Amino acid sequence: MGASRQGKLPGETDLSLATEALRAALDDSGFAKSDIDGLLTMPGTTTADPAKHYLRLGEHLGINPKLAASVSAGGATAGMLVQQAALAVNAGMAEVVAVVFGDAARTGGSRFSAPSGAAISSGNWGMYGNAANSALGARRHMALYGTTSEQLGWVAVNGRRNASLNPNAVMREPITIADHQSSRMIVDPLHLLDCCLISDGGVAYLVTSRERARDAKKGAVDILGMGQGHTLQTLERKDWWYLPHQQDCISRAYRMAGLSPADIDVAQLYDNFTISVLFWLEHGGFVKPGESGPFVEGGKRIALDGELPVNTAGGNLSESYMQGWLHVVEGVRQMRGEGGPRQVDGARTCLVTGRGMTLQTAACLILGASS
Amino acid sequence: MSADISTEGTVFQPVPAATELTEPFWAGGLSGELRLQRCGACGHIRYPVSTICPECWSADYAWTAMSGRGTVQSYIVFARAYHEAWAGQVPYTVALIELDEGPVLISNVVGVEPAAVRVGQPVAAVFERRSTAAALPQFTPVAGKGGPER
Repeated sequence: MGASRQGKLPGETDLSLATEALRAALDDSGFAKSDIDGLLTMPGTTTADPAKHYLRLGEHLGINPKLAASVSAGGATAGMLVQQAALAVNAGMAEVVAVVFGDAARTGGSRFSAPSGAAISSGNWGMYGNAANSALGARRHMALYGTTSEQLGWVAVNGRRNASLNPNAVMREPITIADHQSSRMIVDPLHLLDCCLISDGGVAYLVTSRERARDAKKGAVDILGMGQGHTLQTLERKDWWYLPHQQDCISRAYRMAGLSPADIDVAQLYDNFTISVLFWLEHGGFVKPGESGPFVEGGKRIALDGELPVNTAGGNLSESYMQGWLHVVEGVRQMRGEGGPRQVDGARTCLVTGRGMTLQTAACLILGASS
Repeated sequence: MSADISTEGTVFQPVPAATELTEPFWAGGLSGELRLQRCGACGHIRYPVSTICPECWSADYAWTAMSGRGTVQSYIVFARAYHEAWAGQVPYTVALIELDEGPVLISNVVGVEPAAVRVGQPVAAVFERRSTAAALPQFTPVAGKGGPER
């Protein structure tokens, strides 16, 4: 795996950042460009003609693969593409699949404030921005279970604390609950510090067979389980706000891996907004429905030395908003024991989750340290 | 949603662009009715507006007047405007409204301070005329029992 520089990178494009990331992934693995025979990509928010992104990137990189596709499923895409790559490798359709993303969202002016909605736009009712959907879920969770804004704040504080130990993180200055509470309201009940960043950057992975992975310079990580779940309808599902597909997604991965929540040592949970981490904790079976607020309160249980260390590199909230792509990178790092000051002692399994679009798509991986 | 209409610096709220498909939804509001599509085959009342029933895929439907009654499933408050037409409206409430008939709508809770809105609150439809062809369904609190239920 590899990542480009992150943050505000004037002059870079989705292609240049994807290239930088793939170069880093090749360096990390010791593999050569000529080893790549599969190309799966996610277009950036600034990519024109996104369905043909694999085509433009392949042309740019000089890769003529046996297998290629682009998928746009927001934050679930990283997991979905790793899964497709693994399936292709297992089926013998490709041996080394490059899974690549690059985006110049920050300098390209992506604002994530467009109205959402299908045949009848919710913009008619003044509903704008990605934060709105998650804010609706947060409010209902608060009303049903007594979850508080301060509890959400602990997710942000935890992410920033971990990011302060990550030299590649965009936001590294520690924050407090008071900072969270005094940050401006974006859409009530979500404050600024409940929201992810907007970043330029690229991320790439190489997915190959266990046998071929023995050649990898720094060692490879096993994929123990994979799952997806999608509630592609929104308003037609009364429980859409609770994102039941996330639970399905993780259950499927547990089943494939033969593991249960108690077997997970560390978790990289998709955090477009702080509330998402609370949902994942419930859907991953780490706590019962409604109990995620008290679980994160105080930040101890989700800290690096806690019961379930969460977002050990800082996540979308503090490391960089790569739509969950860096969550996989950090999962690999933790499984290879390369976390440095933020390494979770003895971690052998890592749950990595992603979710995207209008909260509709979910994908997860359970990574395992190579035995 | 059509392009915004701007006259001498004033940006008005979006005028819903009625298509052949959605026209009855928008026009219903002009006569004070919240109309949704009821499937002619299985009876499912659907929303958002669609050419087929998402349950049984029948293309047969009838626009049907709803009671307009429902509850607030959740709500959020916009403290700042992300579209300048709402600049004079902040703070305003956007809510998920669960109709008594089942469907869930994204709408506004109006006629009450945002701070007084509650999850589970009973509401009734009111309509905001945005053009000669469209009125927007919104909701306002009414008396009655309610509370958050899953």
